[in-house]
Amino acid sequence: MKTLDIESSSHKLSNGLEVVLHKDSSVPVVAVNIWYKVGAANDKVGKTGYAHLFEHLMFQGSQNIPKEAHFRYIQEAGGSANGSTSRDRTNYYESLPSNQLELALWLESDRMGFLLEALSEEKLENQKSVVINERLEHYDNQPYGLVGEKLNSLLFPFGHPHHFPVIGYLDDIKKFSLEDAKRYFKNYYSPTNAILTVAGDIDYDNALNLIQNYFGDINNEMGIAEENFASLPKLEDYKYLEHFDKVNVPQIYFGWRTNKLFHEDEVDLHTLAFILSGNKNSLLTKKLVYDTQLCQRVSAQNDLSKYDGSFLISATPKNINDIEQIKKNIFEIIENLISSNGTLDKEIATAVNNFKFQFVHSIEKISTRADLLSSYKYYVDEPNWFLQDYERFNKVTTESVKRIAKKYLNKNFVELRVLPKNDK
Amino acid sequence: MINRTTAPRVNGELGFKFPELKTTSTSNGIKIISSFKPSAPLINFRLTIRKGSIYDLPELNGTSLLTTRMIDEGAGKYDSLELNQEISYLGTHLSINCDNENIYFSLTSLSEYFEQSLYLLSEIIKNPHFTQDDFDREKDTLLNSLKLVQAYPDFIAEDSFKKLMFGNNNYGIDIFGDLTTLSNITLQDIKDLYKNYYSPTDAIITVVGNIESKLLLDSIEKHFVGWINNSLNSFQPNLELTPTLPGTYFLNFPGSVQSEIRVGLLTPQIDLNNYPAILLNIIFGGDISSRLNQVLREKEGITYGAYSYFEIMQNISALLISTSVDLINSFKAINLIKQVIDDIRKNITEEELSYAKSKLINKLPLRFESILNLNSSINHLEIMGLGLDYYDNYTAKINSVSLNDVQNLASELFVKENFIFFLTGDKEKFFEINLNEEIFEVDSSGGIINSL
Repeated sequence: MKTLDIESSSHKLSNGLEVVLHKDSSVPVVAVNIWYKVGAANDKVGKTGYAHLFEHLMFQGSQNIPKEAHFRYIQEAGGSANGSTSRDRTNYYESLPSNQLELALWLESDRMGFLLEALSEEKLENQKSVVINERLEHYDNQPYGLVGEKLNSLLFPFGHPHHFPVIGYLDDIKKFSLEDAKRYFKNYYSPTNAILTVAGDIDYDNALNLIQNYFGDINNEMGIAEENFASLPKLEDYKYLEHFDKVNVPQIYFGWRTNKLFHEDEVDLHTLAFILSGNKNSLLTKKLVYDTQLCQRVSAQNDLSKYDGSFLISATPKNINDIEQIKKNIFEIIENLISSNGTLDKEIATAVNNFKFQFVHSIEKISTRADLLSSYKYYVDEPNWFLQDYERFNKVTTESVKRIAKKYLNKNFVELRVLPKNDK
Repeated sequence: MINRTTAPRVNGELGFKFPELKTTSTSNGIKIISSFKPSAPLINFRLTIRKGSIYDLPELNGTSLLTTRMIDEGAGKYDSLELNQEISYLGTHLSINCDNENIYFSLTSLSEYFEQSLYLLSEIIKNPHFTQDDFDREKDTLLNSLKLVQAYPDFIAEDSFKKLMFGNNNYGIDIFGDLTTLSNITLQDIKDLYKNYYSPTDAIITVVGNIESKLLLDSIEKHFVGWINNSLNSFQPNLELTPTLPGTYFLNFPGSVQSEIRVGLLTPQIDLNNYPAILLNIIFGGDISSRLNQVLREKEGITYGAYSYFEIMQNISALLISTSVDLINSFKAINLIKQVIDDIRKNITEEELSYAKSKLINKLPLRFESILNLNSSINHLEIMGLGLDYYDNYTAKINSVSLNDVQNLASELFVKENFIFFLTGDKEKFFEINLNEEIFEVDSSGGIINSL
C-alpha cells in the first residue's frame, strides 16, 4: 500500500536528541511532537502519578515563557497543543499553521532546557490541586471509574510497572515536593531521553536548522539509566474481586496477561479481539447480544505497552442474575474457538480490512502521523514502519489466532464484577 | 546564538483559502455539497435529515433515538447480521445518531469500497426492515443504556439543567426521553416516525474525499433515486420558552465526591455571523486560556477545567458554563464564576480581543485539514443556513469587530442576576454554603422540592 509508505529522515544532535522529519505539503499545517522516554511505569512506590503530574508542570512556564502562556501562544497562532502520559512515555505536541513552526520549537526547547529556572512551590501546589480534581472528575466520581485501577492491581502484582494507575493515588499526589520535581526533571527530561518529530509542510534543511538552533545548545544532564524491567512478577492463579459501586447496571470483566507491544504475538491478539467482539457477527457479540440477548454489550480488547500487556473481555448484563450464565458462555466460546476445526478465514479477512481502514484513517492528519513516527522511532527504532506494521496483519492465520488464544486465555486470569451498591 | 527571550516572528503569510465546493441535487430533491480532497484514499459521506428529537411526541420521547438504533438492523435483502457483515467486511465505518434538531448518517470508507458502502447505506435509508424481534432487543438495550448513564453525575447534571434552562420547551428534553416514555414506544411508532420524517426533501448530503463530483453525483443518483417523499405528518414541537427563574438550584446526588456545576443564560438568537459573540466567548470561557479557566484552574486550582460555549440551535440559543469541582469548593466556585461574569461586563482589553481574533483567523488551515473536519464544517454551514460563502470574507469580518462591539455585548449579556446557577453533589458532604442567597433544591425533573 503506497499510502502507508511514509518517507522520513532521522537525525541525532550532538546532545543526543533524536530528530525525525517528515514532509507533506498537501495542507499548510505542521506538527511538532516530542516523546520523553519516561512514563507511569517509572513511578515508584509512594510516588505514583509523578509522570503525569510532571506533564502538568511542563505547561507552567519556563525561563522565557510565563505560566500558562504555552497554550496562549499556540492558540493565538491558530494551533492546538497538549500532552499525555502513558505507562511508556510522556508526549507533548503542537499542531500549527506551517508558518508558525518556529514558535512551537521555541516553546518546546525552552521547557526542555530551562524549566527549572521558573518552577516554583506555588505552581506545584496549584497543579497538584488541579490533578487531584482531574482524578476526582475522571475516576473517583465516575461509575466504573476505578475498574482499570482495580484490574491492573490484580493482573500486575506489586513490583510490576503496570501495578499502579497512571493518574496516581491521591495521597501520593499530595506528597509530591519541589525537590521531587527538580530531581525528576534532571533524571528524565534530557535531550538524550527524547525524540522530536516535526512533520507537515516543511523544508527539511530549514526545519533541521531551526531544530539545531533551538535544541542544539541544551545541556544533556541525564541522571539515571533506563529501568530494568526484565523480570516481572507473574499472575500465578485465578483472582476474583467484587466491587460495589454507585452504578445502576452491573459490568463484568475478565483479564489475562499477554505480552508487550510489537511482540510477535501482537497482531494475532488484535485479530483475536476483533473476532470476539469487532462487529455484530463476532463470536461474543452474536451469542450474547443477539442470540441469547443476555448482554447489552460485550467487548474484547488489548492493552499493550513496552513492558507487558493484557487482554480484557468485558460485558454488560441486562439482568444481574445472568452473570454466571454469561461467564459460562464466554468461556465456552473461547474453548470452542481454540478446539474447533473450523476456519476463521472470513473473520480474519474482515478484521484485516478494518485494520487497513484504521491505518489509512490514522495517518490522514499530520498530527497523528507525527505521533506515530515518534512511536515507531521509540519502539522499533525506525520511524517509517507504517507499511511493515500493516503487513504484519496479512500473516495472521486461523492457526495463529487459535494458538494465541490457547497460549494466553488460560486459567490464570482476573475476574472483576462491578455491582450496584444497593444490591450489596 | 538564538534569542530566546521573545517569541519568534511568523514566517510569511499563508494565503489560506477555503476549499472549493460543488453544489448539486438528485432528481428526488436531495441537495448535495461536495469537495474533492485527494490527499488520502478516503471519503466521508454525511446525510443529515432535519428532524431531530424535538419532533418526538411528548409521551414517546426517545423515538428518534430508538429509530436510529433500529434502522441498520436489517435492510433490503439483508437481515441485521448479514447487513453488518457486509459493511464490516469493507472496513467501512458507519455511525447513525441524532440530536435535538437533526438525524445524522456518517459513512467513512476507503475510496475503493465507497460505491459498495454507499449502496448499503442507501438500502438502510430506503428499505429498513423494522422487525419485531429487532425492535424488542434494541428497545431493551436502550432502556438498559439509559439506566446505565443515569449513574453518571455529568449526565444527571446535564439532564436536569436542561429542564431548568428550557422548561417545557422540547429542547429541555434529552434525546433518550425517560424510562417511562421509552417504555411506551412500540414498533408502530418507529415505523410512523420513519414514514413521516425520513424524507429526501428534508435531507442534505455533504461529501468530502477522494472522489470527483461527477462520479459522486452519478453514484448518489443511482442509489438514492428510489427514496421517495413520505407523508410528512410532522408533530409541531413546543418551542415556547418557559425557563425557570434565575437563581441557584441544587440537585442532591448522594455518594458523589465532586460537584457538577452548570451555569446558563438564555440569549437572544445568536448564529455564527455574530462575531462579537464568538469573540466574547473566547475571552470569557471558550478555551484553556480564557478567563474562567485561568481563575478557577490556574489561579485557584479548584477544578480540572472550566469552560463556556454558546449553544446555538435553529430555534434557541444560550450561553452555558460547565465545570466540576471538589465538594468543599462548590460554592467558592459559584462565587468565582459570578466574579468573572461581573468583571467581563466591565472591562475587556484590546489585548484580549486581539488574541481572540488571531485565534479565529489563524485556525482556518487546521480546521479544514482532515476530510472529517472539513465535511463537518460544510455540513454545519448548510444546516445552520450560514451560506457556503461564509468563509469568503471571514478575516475581514472578524477584524471589523471593535472592542466596543464586544464590550457592549458583554455588558448586555453578563448580568449575573439573569443566570441560572445549578449544581449537583452530595448534600451531606458540603462543608459550607456561602452564597448569601436562597438555594432551591430540585428533583431530577427540575421541579423545586425544597429551599435550603
